[in-house]
Amino acid sequence: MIRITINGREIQAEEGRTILDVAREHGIYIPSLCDHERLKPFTGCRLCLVEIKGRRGYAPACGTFLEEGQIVTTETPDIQKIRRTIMELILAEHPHACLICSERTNCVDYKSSIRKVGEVTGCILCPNNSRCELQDVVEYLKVDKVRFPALFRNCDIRKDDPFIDRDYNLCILCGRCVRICHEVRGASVLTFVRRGPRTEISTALNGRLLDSQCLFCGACIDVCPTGALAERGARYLPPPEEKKSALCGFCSQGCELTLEIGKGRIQAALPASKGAVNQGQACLRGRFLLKEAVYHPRRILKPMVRKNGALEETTWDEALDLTARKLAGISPDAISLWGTSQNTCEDAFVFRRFGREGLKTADVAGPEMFSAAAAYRRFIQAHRIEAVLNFRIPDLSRMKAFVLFGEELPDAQPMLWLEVHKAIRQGARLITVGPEELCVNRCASGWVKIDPEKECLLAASLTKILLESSEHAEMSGVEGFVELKKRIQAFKISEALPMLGVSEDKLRRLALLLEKKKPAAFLFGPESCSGRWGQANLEAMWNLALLTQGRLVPLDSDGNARGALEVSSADGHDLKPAKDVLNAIHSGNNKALYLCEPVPGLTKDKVGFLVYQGSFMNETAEIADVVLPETTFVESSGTFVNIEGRIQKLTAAIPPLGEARPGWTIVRDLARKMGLTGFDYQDVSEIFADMAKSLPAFHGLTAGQLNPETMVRDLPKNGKRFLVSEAAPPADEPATDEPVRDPDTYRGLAMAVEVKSLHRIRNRGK
Amino acid sequence: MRKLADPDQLAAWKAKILEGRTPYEKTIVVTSGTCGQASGSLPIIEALNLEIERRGLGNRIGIEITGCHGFCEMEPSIVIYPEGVFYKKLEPKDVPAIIDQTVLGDKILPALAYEDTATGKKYPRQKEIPFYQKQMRLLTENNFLINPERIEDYIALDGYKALAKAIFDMTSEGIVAEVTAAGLRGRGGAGFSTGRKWQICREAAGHPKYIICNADEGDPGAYMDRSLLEGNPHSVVEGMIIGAYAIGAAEGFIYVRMEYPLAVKHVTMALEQARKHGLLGENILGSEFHFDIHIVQGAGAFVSGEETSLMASIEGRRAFPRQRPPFPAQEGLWGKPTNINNVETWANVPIIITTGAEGFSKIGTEKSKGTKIFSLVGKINNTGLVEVPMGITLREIIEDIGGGIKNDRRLKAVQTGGPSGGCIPAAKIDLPIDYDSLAQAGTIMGSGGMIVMDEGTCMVDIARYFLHFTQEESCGKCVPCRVGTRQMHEMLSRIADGKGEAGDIERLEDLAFAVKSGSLCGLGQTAPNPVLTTLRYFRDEYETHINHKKCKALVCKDIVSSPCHYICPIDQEASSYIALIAQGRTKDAFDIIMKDNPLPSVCGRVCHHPCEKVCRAGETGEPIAIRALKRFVMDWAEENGLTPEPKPGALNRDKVAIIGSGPAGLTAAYALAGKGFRPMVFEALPVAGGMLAGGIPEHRLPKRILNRDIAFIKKAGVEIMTGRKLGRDFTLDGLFEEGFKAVFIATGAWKSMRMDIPGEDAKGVMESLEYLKAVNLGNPMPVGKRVCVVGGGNSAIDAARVAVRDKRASSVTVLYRRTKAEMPAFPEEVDAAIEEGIEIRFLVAPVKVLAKNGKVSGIECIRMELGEKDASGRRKPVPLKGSNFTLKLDTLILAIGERPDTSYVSSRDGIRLAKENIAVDGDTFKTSRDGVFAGGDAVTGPNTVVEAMAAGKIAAGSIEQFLEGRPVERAYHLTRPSVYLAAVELSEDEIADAKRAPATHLPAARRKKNFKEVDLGLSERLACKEARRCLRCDLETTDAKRALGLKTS
Repeated sequence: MIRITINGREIQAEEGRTILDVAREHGIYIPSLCDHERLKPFTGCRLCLVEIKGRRGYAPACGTFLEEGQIVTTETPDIQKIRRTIMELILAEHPHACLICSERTNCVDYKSSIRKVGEVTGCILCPNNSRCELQDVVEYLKVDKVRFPALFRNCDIRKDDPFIDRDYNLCILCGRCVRICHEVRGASVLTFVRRGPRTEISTALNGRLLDSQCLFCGACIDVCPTGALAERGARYLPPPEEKKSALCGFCSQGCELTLEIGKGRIQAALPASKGAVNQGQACLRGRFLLKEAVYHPRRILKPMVRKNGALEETTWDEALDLTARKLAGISPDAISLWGTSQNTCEDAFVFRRFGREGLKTADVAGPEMFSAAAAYRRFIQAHRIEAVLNFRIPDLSRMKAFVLFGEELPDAQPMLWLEVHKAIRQGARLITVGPEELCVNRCASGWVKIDPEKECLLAASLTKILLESSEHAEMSGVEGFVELKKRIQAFKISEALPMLGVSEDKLRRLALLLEKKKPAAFLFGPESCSGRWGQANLEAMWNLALLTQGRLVPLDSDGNARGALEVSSADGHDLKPAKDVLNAIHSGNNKALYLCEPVPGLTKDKVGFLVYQGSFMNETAEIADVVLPETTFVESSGTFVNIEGRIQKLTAAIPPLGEARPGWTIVRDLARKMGLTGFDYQDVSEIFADMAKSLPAFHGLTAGQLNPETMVRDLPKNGKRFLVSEAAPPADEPATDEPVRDPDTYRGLAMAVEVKSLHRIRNRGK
Repeated sequence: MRKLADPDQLAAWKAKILEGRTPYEKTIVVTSGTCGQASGSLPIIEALNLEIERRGLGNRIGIEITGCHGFCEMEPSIVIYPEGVFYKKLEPKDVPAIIDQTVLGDKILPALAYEDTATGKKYPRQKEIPFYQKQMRLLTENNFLINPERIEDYIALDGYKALAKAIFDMTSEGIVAEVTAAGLRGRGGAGFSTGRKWQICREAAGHPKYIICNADEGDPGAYMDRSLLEGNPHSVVEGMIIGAYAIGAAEGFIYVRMEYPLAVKHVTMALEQARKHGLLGENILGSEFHFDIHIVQGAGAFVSGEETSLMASIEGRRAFPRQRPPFPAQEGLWGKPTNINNVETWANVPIIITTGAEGFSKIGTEKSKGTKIFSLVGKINNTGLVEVPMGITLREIIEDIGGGIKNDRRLKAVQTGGPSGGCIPAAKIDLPIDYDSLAQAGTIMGSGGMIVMDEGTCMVDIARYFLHFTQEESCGKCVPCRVGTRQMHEMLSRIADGKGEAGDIERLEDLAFAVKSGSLCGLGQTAPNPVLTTLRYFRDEYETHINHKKCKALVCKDIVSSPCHYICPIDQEASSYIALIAQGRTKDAFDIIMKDNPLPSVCGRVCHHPCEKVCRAGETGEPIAIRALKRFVMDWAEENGLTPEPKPGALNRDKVAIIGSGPAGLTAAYALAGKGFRPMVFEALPVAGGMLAGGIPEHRLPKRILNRDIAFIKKAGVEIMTGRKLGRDFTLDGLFEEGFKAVFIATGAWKSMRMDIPGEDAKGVMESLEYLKAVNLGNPMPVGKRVCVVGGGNSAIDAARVAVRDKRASSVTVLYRRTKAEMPAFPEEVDAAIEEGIEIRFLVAPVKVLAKNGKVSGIECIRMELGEKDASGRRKPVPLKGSNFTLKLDTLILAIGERPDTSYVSSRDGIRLAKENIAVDGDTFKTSRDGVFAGGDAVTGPNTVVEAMAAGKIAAGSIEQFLEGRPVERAYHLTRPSVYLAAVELSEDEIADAKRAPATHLPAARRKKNFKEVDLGLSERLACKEARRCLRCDLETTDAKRALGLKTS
């Protein structure tokens, strides 16, 4: 601890912190425009200059680290004079008529509707009005006139990119966007260009963001202190009336968002600055697509039933009565249910119970059964090895190497990517494996261009090189090591090389890298561990990971993939494998189908009675006999389990749109109508209590006790063991058409198709 | 050659090099640095080689190519050894003669030798040239002797011996201690102790450590570092290796600008050679010490010279500076301890190791040790690089080494430290040059740029120039620097453009304070220095720009427009009428002239034409004959029967009395009439015109011409009453009682001054004005045979030329105590007088008038010589003791000056006097009495016609304000022509033949004994040709460009 004095107050703080941080913490205001809590000091705006006794001149509080005994004064007449002059200089380049207008407090009532112009000439026309940090500083410094002539930079307003408008006439060059893009997001898209009065923020060669490596995460907008960077979809809206916290359900990471709401509608979704997973960051989907999805024209807002061959809107009663009547008359063997892994655990739990206990059918499954986590869990259980699914995203930054199998991490798992990238910048190495060239390859030390089915071959080759290159004495005690060594002797690298399409030299280089950079994380998605090669891949990866003191990390994209898996895999019932359920759905032998997700390729002639419960119209809903509108995640309450195994609470941020209802209430009401007992839930907490009783993953938890750090129970069993499978993978088993989970698809809404801006981004360069 | 494995091998190598040298009879050294090459050294080298080869002299004469010797003004130059003959500004065609005469014949070619501008003395030997005499070339001396592409030349001069000493005979602590004790301070400009800097880095925790040589020389006009790297790269490399050894660094970088290709080439070669010989790399000189140096080329941003930016640039990032601490010594390149020194600092290190701290610290002042290289540029005769001991005065650098100011102008200020520095005014010329005295003067040593400015430099413009540079070079990271420098530049631009407002200076000062104390790095922190020092020393110039819209140095284009128009006291639009004459529109030119000038025919003949003195065409050639052009227009108008028509308008406003009908009175009266007042002019003489009528002789200004102008003035509504004298015929109070509401006194300066020497009141001693007046009014005072005039002004020459026209006079002599160059009379008048047979004796002053029988018979004089300059900048005449002599004469005319005769002012009038002159407010010409104004010679003492007219014109404005009951204040405005006329296009021939139209005079023989007008004026053809030469400065303002649709900057 270090002791310093600020304005006569003695303060104790940890070493390595800046004067500005500590002053803020102790409620001492020092103006600053370029500093940001997540960024390294920049010391560019010079508003935070303070006086430090014994030091010549003034020091920027944001870039001055604590030293024992420092005596700091944050306000003197000279400092205030300098600050005011600096502020005037900033304002000379920034539209400021409103900022210093003496009547500004009186005009609030009149300024709601005139924001719809591209050129910003004052606060009332600025997308960042009331969020603009200049306003606070002007207020604090009491700047009431600008003694210098306005210097209009006359920059073109850049509107040629999706989602993001850039008006550098408002820019004060604090560099936050550049730094967040570089330091936190690792994208390094934005940069300072030119110098002197023509200094500007831009991309390389002044191109569009689309032509750069921009991922459209929106972080630049979130740190911009002015209205220079704005979300196009929100810039013309008035300031929000309220803000609500929400959990993003678009992917499996579970970022916390802050929704800005005005007149009952979501105006914008921003990353929550203290979000447990995202720490103030978001991604393209969470930041920009939420409104697009929730208010999408394909949204189902009313129950519908098929009458005279066409779907017609109707009342919940009629829709549910019809469904209850139909389902009651069909034998359980002839009913299949297909859930989703994109609604809450509670929804999934009630739905699956309804199928198994209510309808008494064994044909209940969902997409979670095809997840990487599911495959890995099956692998762990089959081999009885010491491994867990749970992990912590920040732990990844402590890894020294990553082997990434085919996943476009920055798009699919953006938060995870930030940690991986952070590790890379700290010296960790990345190896990518997969048939397609990935964007992340630019940060990779090597790329092995192979199909998933050859991943085991690669892992085995690397294992062999590693085993032969050194003794690995520390492993000699591990079960199976001797067997593995023996087994691997028979393996011929020379035979593997032509199949892998890499040189032996490169292979050795990669092996050496894994040897040097320990531990390594092996990141893989469903494709690596599904199909006939899946278990062989996992085994080879497992051995390699064990040898390099690393671990396997399964990656799934569905918002509640892990939660749904925990709900489904806990069943001790005699259930059909998911593949069989899917086959049954396609077989045409069912009398009734109850689907919560579209099933591609399903045709009307193969379906008896089809119930579709979901949020968006799609090809499956079109052929349904009954369509039941379900809420999206912003209108739902309950829990999600994220990719780490973190149980996160969801609270509805807005009331349900139209007549949509949460999934569990739909099923509950249907069960009631069918006269089934045990479904009389009044609240999600009651469901959670039931889950805690019947699901090992939730065992012993209560809804009230959940905190952001609560993880599902995932205790390792058994011990470390190298695996030497006796049986080779069945070579002749046909590859099944397992549904590919697309991170841009939410409840059947293919956003990359349906949302034009996202379409432009996903298809850039094509 | 194998790598040197120990110091003995180094010594042996040196011996071998010396032994193996060809014993040439003569060696010709060619300076061929970047500036040498730019001025043409390469063709000289080629010609020398060819010539020597052709004559088969290859084994007798050697040619050596070296870097810069510093005397850039004289490039390309050679030195012929062993004599050290120095030849300057050579061309290949000079080569055969050099070989013949000097190399083989030991004869000096005077045309190629250096000649001192001030004294005209030739200096054939390099060592004797004053430029080199006062220098102390510690670092640069070897530039004479080294071919920078050959390490052998450096070794032969004991190169790398210091390194051997450092590694084998000294400890690393010892080296640091030695450098500290030597008192070496950073030559990059900040002046931090080099030894202490090394010490900090040496002691810093962290590994590896780096050292950097900062060769990002970016100050405009500074090139010391380049010359060292180009001319003696090994000295820098050796310094770095020693420094690395002392600090414990394993890697070094030379960060040099890409635009120094020759420096990059020579340093690259030096590094390769040093590596090859085991002086760099692993096991240096066989020791355990490993060290290597890399070159990093910067793209040329000024901020890259700032150490943290420079490091960012080496690391491959944008050259943004960062906050310190941590200092580079703690966290530098890639976060490791790093020591950065400037090129010159590194080059000093081997010298300190060789001579020892004690020897080194003997040079310089108490706190600034050693020498400093300056690049002496600007308005100085000897542009070049000079190395001087610390503590030398500015005067020694400028006058002795620099050879004084170009074109005999006066020093105004010196800028040191480039854009980060400030100016030192001429008054501080005796300032000793060291870190601390410069800081005290408000500027900095900087890396050694020294820009000399003469009186033709506008300090506002200079500040604007430097701020333009810094704002362009600001990296853009911090607000005070990026926006502050821009706003300062904008403000300075506004002031320089004549758009300054009250309060601008204070705003500028506030801003400078914020930029200085708020900026992140040295660039911003020092950027306001040029503004602050010019404000400190030349605040009045800022005030004049802002309050009076005037630029004394005639530099600021948007204020000055065309200098001829700008300088004219009565605002004559010379540029416009010249342009009209050039287009053949003489009638329009006539209108333009008449607009501002009621005495145009007079001015066309006798004006002292300040316009021609400032004419830009005169800077590189001859000024436009503006006065002659005006006279041409007036003569043309007369020939073509053109008479000016005064603007119609009722004369129905107040009555104003004008006392005196000289140029001031007439101009005031005319201007007042134009405003509708009723002016009445009272003239004491029987004729109107004042000094124009009484003082200027007929041969210069025919009465007919004067009366033509006066007739026009009368026509405009001015009444003139002659023979009415103030104090004799009427009083001031009487005028007001008669209903005059205001009075303008313009009674001139008619009282001649006396010499105050014995015998002055003898008969036959006359005052020139009395004499001229009498002749002019038609009752001439007779002169004797031998006439003598004392004085050097126009009045003296006029009297002499009138006397020469008197048939009684057989000889006319003028005595003047200075030389012709100092004579205040118009040079053409002096020449004409000599033509007419008048003898002018210079450097002669009367001491006693000799008389016979009360009548003058002779004069005793003493010879003078010119001494020190006096306050007016002219050299003061000093009597030569015992040089007295006498002249015989019959008439003595005194023309040594006039004073106003204001004896008519009595205490009752309430008019305050300053001695005999009437005291007025300089801006408005108000006297101490309400309603009474005064101007002309009565106020200023003897002055020019046009100054008197200006006073009349301005006073008329003041009188109008007074009569309208408004506050009386002078309105200043920017000089702008009333019309913008496109420039005429000149053919190539015309441009080549652009010479001033010669004045045509009546031949001396035909004018000597009559009063015919001497100057015949210009023909229409010549006038048009002359007018077409005009450079049209009036079109260079933003307004003009806009008006003519030209591109504005």
